[in-house]
Formats: sequence, C-alpha cells, structure tokens
Amino acid sequence: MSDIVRYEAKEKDIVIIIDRDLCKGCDICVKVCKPEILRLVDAPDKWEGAIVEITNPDECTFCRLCELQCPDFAIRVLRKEDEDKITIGGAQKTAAEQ
Amino acid sequence: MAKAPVDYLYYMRAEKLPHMWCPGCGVGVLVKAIIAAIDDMGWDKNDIAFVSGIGCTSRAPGYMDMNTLHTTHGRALTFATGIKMAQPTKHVIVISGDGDATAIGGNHFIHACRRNIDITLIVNNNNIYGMTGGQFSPTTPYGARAATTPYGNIDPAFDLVELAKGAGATYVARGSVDNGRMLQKFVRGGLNHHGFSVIEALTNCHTQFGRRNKMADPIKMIEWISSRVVSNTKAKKMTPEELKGKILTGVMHTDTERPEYCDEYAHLVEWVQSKKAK
Repeated sequence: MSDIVRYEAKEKDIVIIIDRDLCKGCDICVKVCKPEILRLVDAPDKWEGAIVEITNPDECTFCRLCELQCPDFAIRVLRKEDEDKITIGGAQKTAAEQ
Repeated sequence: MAKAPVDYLYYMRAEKLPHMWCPGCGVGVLVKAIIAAIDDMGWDKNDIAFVSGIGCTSRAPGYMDMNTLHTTHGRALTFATGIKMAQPTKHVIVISGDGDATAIGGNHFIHACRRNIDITLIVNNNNIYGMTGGQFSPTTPYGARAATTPYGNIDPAFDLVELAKGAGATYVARGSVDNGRMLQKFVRGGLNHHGFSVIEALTNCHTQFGRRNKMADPIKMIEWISSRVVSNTKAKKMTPEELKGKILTGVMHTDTERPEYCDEYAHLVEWVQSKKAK
C-alpha cells in the first residue's frame, strides 16, 4: 500500500494529500507556498531522506501552486467533494505483487 | 460549476512511479502540463500516441498509460509521422529533449516542420545532454560550462522558436518551467492546432547543467530561468536595452493558411483514384 498522508482543513473546504512514496524532498513546493505552511522533515525510512509535510492546512489559500509545480506528482490540493473523483497513490503494487 | 481536478494518475502507469528523474527535475512539471492539456481537450487516452526518442525527457512515455512508443535517438518524429499517416484521425504527440530534437534529430525536426503534418512536438530544453553525462548541446548558452566545455561554451545557441518558424511550423510557442499553468495553455494550443506545432519548454537540469554553473539546486536554477524569460506581451513595452539577453515566451507564431500534410495526401489519393476510374 502507498504511504499517503491526508491533511484536512477544519474551517475550510480543503484537503491536502501527500504521497510519501512519491515525494523526493526537492523543496520546490516549500518555496512556492505563499502562506509558508509546508516544510521539509527528515524521513530516514525514505530513500531521499526528506519528505514534505503541512504544518497548518487551515492557512491554505487554495492557490494550488505546490500541486502545479511538484514534479513528482506527490501533492494534491482538493475540495473535499472531489477527493473520490481522482486516483490517489502511485506505487500501488508492493514488491511481492510485482 | 468548477471543472473537476485533473486526475493525473489516470493517464499514468501509477505502478511505475516514483519516476527516474532527479528530485526537482523540470520534466515532471512538463509532463504534468501535458496531462492537464490532454485532460482539457477531453480526448480518450486510447486515441493518443505518445512518442519519444532517447534521453531523460524521452523516458516520459514509459510513465504514460497511452499508446506509447520509445524509439531511437532523434528519430521520434519519423516514427510519429508513420503513425499519423497510418491513422490520420488519431492524435500524435512527440516529447523530445533539446539534444534529441535539434542535434541528432535536427534534420527530422526541420523537415517535419516543413511538411506541416498534424503532430504536436514538445521540446524540453534543459540546455544540456542530461542522461549521458552533461555534454553541451546545441542549446547550451554561450559561455556556459558543461562536461565537454570545461572552460565555457564558445558555440552560439540555437533559437528553437526561430528555427521552427523558419522551417515552416505553423504553431510555435515557448514556455518556462516556473509557470506550469502557462505551459499547459501552450500545449493545449498545440493540441488544438491542425498542423505541425512546436512547444519549447525551458526547464531546469540542475544535476548536469546547474552543478557546473553554480546552480546546483532546483530552486536556484528555476530562479535563473525566471530571471531570463519575459512574456512577449510584456516585451512590447520594454526597450531593446532592457530586452538584451532575455528570452521571449508566449505563442510566437501561428499560421492557419498552410495546408496540412495528411489532408493534402488524402486529396491526392482521391484525385488519382478519380483519374483512374475514368
């Protein structure tokens, strides 16, 4: 199974989904975020060693620049009702299935 | 009602992800823009042929869940021409790197432009041969360092837009990786256009190009690209001194007058058959 983390805003109609298997910690999303709610954290279990995380989803302005500029298809910023309309999670097959 | 968000992974072989490109590589943003443009067009993914040659950029079809073809170095356009001639109603998209399209495949590039066949060519211009170890390419800027130009490049760079225009392409646009939305718009314009369309995307290769030119991380290199590009609408208000060393982006050329090759071919077949029937 994919390693997916969901960040749901409490007051806004926004949900941010990060696929931890796809993120390579390149730092682009952290730099493009205007409210500065993204940051890189150490992830020793991942090959790249750093993974992005959201500090406060309620400050998200839904500009979706992080989603647009992410080269790794790792971030999705969605309205809550759109969440089941899209495919989430790359690397769905485990090593045993392949 | 707002449009539903683009389902990127629907168009991709999700089990192949994460992709092989370096962290922060601009090709990912370009592929994303292409998928979003295809989604805007509303095409069935089974009606699309996605063709590439050899190189970092040319690995893109491997991740796309369409009719994909990974061909020989520089020859993507010739294979694509064959596909288009056999199936003129289907959509053919070619993705190519700068070395693949303009050095090894330079001849195929200009002749595909001249022929004006309905193919969309997307050139990922990252100024270098990324996969093979950072050799300089025809688009490496003057003075830039590469593995084979350790003291700086003394060749002037190709202007892909002027080259495509001169060779006869009927839709030419240039975008940059710092603005994914703009890339998406230009790719959509190319897909909409009936005739040969060329979209040049200025992207970052911080691993091979940036590392040798003091921009070893993606942010620095993307900022360098942003500092060099000016949109062509903004450029109209700028003086020649301000525009010195800048690269214009935007839709640079459109021509809807020139006949498209598959149409001409169909007319020819019809005419010859009517002659024979008499």
